Amino acid sequence: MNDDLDALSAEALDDALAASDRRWGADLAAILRVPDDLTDRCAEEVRTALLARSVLSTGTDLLSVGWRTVRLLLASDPRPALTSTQKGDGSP
Amino acid sequence: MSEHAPACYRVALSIVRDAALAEDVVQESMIKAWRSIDEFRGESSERSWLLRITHNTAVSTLRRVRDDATDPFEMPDRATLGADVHVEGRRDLELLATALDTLDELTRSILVLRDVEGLPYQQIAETLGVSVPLVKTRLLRARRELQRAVESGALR
Repeated sequence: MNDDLDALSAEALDDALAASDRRWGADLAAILRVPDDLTDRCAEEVRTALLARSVLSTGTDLLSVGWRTVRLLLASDPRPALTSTQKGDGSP
Repeated sequence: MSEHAPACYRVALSIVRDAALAEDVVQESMIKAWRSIDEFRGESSERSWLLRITHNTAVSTLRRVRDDATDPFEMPDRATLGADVHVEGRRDLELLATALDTLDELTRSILVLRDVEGLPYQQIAETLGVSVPLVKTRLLRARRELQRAVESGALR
């Protein structure tokens, strides 16, 4: 949009704004009408979404811990190392 | 945080121009805010912070919807808001809604934050990440556009 507004001084801009005032406020609010139950509905939806994410996150964490435990068990020698008393090292 | 939902909804609706989509934007913005609450350093008010998230989410949602719309009839057009806000019977409001749709997204947010929500210029500038002079210039231009559109429509 090419107009002369960019060339206005700060004072002139403030004066022009004061003169134009907020006469559209009520009409804009009517156009952008908010549903009566928006706040409650929104709070409920957000709570549900956050709870679902939290459950999912906990589930993922548990799976991750479980998988690491299984990997650790699989990677280690299934037979425990023999101690000197179990080796039968010649002592009577 | 949900007490700011109406202001967020008005900003979102002015941008995406669809009531259901605007509600999705508000919910998505609230979830984003909760998930990043640790990053909120209190440099601005919680309201400003949430409005900024809402504005950005609404703009990206609108772009995504436009990109996804392969059928031109599914694409949000400039008449959507006027048709969706139930202003039938109020010719002046219909003209205003149509005129609002001709403004760019940033200007719409500035107009809503100032003329509906009554935020100070400084707070609007911080919320939208722009300068105060730009806020004032865009606001004055928008008011004149609306005035012109309503007057020319009323004369027809």
